[in-house]
Amino acid sequence: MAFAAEPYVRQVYYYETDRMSIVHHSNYIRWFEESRLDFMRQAGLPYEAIEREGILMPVTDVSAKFLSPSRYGDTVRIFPFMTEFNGVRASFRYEVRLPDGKLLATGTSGHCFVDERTRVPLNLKKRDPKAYELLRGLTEPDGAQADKEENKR
Amino acid sequence: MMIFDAVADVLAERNGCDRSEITPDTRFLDLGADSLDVVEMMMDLEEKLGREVELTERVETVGELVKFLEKHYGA
Repeated sequence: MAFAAEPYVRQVYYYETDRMSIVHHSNYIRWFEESRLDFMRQAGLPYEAIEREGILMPVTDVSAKFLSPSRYGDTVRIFPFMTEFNGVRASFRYEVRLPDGKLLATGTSGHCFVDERTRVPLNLKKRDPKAYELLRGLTEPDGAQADKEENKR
Repeated sequence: MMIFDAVADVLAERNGCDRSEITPDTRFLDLGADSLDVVEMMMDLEEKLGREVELTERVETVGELVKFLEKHYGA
């Protein structure tokens, strides 16, 4: 059975809003990261465990699409999905929703794995086979988790 | 199979470029391949060479990669 993480839930803080009284766009990128790290923690591979092996997971690309604003006081649920993983690259997709399911934003991020000391990209399959196998099992069909969530409604 | 030939074959297959135009001075970036593509290319190279290889240094040209492989994995 494919791994399904619980959504990452957080409050919108006042300091995250801008002059238009909506969340500034830059914060969604931070939320994606928070949800991604939470996703890995739930999967049993906290990011600090990867770092302890001398491996870093930098961001190679990131995108966001803003569909509807979020505001101070909102509770947002962020759904991260690992859409691609081959040991060299990993890709995530995100959905930011209100508790009633309304979709506020979507996004993607791309990552690779590098040696902490040399900063040379590496193949996780060789460097940390256990982490490789774990992450490989987390990739699921695009949208599977959100569909499950929506079907509950 | 010579290591250079294996690297050139894999590069040409992956990047759809002319095999005859690949020389030791060819830069991966000029073929549209970034450092991650090079690491992914190593997986194909393993099949070609019939042994496991792992890149532990940053390489920018075909010649640098061939040198690394010769040094660590023999000719």
